[in-house]
Amino acid sequence: MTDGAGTGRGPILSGDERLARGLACLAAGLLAVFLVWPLAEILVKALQAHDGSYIGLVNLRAVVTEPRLRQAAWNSLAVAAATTLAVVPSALAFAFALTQSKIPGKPLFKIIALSPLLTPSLMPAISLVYLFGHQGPLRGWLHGHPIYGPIGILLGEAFYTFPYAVLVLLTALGVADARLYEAAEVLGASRFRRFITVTVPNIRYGLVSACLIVFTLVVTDFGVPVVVGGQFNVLALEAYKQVLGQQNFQKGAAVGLFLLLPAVLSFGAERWLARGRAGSLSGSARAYRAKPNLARDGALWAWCALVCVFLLAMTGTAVAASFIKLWPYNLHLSLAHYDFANMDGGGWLAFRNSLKLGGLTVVAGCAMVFAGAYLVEKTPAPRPVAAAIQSLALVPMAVPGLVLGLGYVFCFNRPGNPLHRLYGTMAILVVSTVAHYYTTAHMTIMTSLRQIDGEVESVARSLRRPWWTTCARVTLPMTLPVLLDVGRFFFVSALTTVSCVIFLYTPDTVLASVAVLNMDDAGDTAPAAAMATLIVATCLVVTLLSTAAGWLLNRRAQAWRRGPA
Amino acid sequence: MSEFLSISGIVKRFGGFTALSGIDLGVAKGEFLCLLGPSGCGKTTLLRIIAGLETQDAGTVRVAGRDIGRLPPARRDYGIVFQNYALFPNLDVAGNVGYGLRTGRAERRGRVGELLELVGLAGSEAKYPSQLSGGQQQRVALARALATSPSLLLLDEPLSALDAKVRVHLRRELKQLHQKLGITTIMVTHDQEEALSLADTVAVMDHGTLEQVGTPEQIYHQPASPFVAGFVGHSNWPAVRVREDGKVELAGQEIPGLGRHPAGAARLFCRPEDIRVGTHHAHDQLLALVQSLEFLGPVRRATMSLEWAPEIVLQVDLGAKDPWLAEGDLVPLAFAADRMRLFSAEAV
Repeated sequence: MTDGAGTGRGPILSGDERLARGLACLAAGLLAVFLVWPLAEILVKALQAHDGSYIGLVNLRAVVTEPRLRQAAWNSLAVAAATTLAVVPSALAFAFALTQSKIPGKPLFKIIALSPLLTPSLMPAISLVYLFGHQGPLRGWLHGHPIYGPIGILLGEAFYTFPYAVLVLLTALGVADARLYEAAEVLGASRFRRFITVTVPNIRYGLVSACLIVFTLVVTDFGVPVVVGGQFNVLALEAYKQVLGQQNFQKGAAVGLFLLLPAVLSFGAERWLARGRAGSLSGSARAYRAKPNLARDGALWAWCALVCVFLLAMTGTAVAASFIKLWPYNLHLSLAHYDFANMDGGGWLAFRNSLKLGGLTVVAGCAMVFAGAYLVEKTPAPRPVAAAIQSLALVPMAVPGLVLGLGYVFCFNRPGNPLHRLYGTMAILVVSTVAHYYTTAHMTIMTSLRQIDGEVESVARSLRRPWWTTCARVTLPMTLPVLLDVGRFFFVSALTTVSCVIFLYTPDTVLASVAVLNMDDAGDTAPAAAMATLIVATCLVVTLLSTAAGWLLNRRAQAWRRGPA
Repeated sequence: MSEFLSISGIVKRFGGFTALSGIDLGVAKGEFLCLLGPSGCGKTTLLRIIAGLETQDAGTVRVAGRDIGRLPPARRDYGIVFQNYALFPNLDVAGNVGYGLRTGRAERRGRVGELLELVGLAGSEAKYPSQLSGGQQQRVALARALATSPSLLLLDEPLSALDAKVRVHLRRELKQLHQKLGITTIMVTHDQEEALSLADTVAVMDHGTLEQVGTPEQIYHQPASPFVAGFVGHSNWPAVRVREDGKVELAGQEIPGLGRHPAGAARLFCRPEDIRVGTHHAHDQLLALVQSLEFLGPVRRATMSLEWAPEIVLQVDLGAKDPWLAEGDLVPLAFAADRMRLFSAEAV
């Protein structure tokens, strides 16, 4: 009779719902501990003197007033602005060619354009040294200017940021509505006018977004400047030097906060721009199909080819140099540089550690991200907890890896911290890498979960099945292709990243990407190139494997995806 | 009839918006009840509260005397069908229908076959939802909801996503299925035709309150409020005057058979089919001028204005047996007084 009455006001939860609630709280707690806490520590550290006493804004003011730091800040801004100006128009032309022209070879162009995503950012810098360095065959092109400095950073960062800009602009151009172009043509608008009045307004958001992404990536990257920066100091490098070189954590924290600034600002700007843009492409829109135009397509093809030659040279040079005895004097092929056993910097242990990190990041990252997104989207998680997970998941997007790594050092290296034992282990590398790349993974999985009708869960609950049955039998199988892609993303990111883990590795947990940096630092450029080549090759293999697995999954899913028989 | 499901004092707010303000409703065992109302009236919210998919802010839901108002969906014993089918896309028909069955494999296969036969889809166990038409998908959803033999069936606009023809066909089958199984059913719909043809009882809702609960005939012919009268079917609302002696006058002419009412201004509710066109002019009949005619298939709907009060415009349905009219004709009107209702002028 009184099965549900008289036990307080709230609804009675079933066992599985209580479990979902507990897990959601746990997920929110993990995000708080491994994301909010480290970032809060940076804030605290930035306000402290070297001995730990509170000194207010002195450290922060030093970044603006101390000549060395101020110069670094200006250099960062200048080189980031220059890179943005160079990369975004190039990427726009490239993306335009891929979406709105009839040039041949589009798939190949696209693969090459995205290939930098598989390489550590140190790699283009090493290639630049080989091509334009003191013994570089092309150093004459620079008319006496050294590659070490702003020119090198600009070229290296251009390579590193190009795929990000292309991806954003491809999406922006991809949603072009053919009906608008037809309407403009019928009204007698010229080709140029159509581009200005239809294309540009359409991609305005994408353009701004691409600029913000490129700018932020350049400001916060230190892989390129550490190799080809020379005397040209930048802020990201300064944070690294302050902490690892001078052990001045407080000043490092202050520099870290400044690095956070462009990312947070562009994140805010992006959110602001994204308001009310959800319905930009209505259901009745038709995809734009280009008509052939020889002059336009010829010029675009030439441009794409030129960009691809540049991108391939930036990877290819380092790959080639790693197989050559002594560039450029003895061009005989040799595997000597792959003999990591007799080399400082970590050697094969570093490579094995990287594979381990990659594998563990895939497992931990996919599990955590999927669980978080699933609990928020598909179970009746308490509203404040769901909101907390949703907003915390967006934080890593605005936090450069370097800053996150700093936070981890400050937080988990402190002896009083109950999680101090994590410091120096593989576990903390895994956790920090998952945290670093959380946003992209979370948004990808969230989008795919939202495409599954929410009433499906309601029906399953009415059929007295706990959510984990529905998750295992319906939701997870349907999300598997996306999860596979997220796993690949985690793996490649774990292998190529340097920024976050540079502060967290120990001799036992040294990583391949860190080894590249260390060997290059020690003057062993060729072995560094060899290790970088190994990373790229591994990423390529994993990408191909995941593509093959995705293809198999897709074929198995054909039965239920195809339309009415 | 004793109440199988009884809802009392259900209140639901979303922020500052009150979706349901104190709903009391009883459903007898085996009854087919339709919650009818315009979009945003709270009918779906009420259904979701009964299903436990939404939590009410106040009030109780009882099934067979048991308070289920705060139980999770899994402990409420009902089957539910949604407008968009909500089938598991990656499971075949057998997997969908058998999802809630916790029996052995052979037994499950038998039950699935039985259910598919019941909904007229025998033999389609191995098909996937994407290979079925909308109507077929909704039958699968229905079979899935019935699989565990629940004591209550909840239908949330189950026919609204279907083509007009399929909709009428499936509506008829739904009625037969209900008669065969005798399962207590609550269906949410905004389609009055669907509600009137399917339901034993129609509950008309507006702005989070129940306007009227009654049989389809009561709802149609004796609407309890101007809203119900206006929402269900077409109607005329001419202004009338009630004389001191309580008789009702339209354009100065007494309408006989309406009984006595308090004196003053009022509105008369009459449906287009309840006004007859006479052939002979009698001295006590209203005369109306045919302004326009609209052909609607089985009937023609004439728009007429009263000769003595041209500002009063009435719509009159003319069937095959009525005299053939043309625009500009002057005809006498007669009212079926037992079908008319009087509402106070302010209420309209």
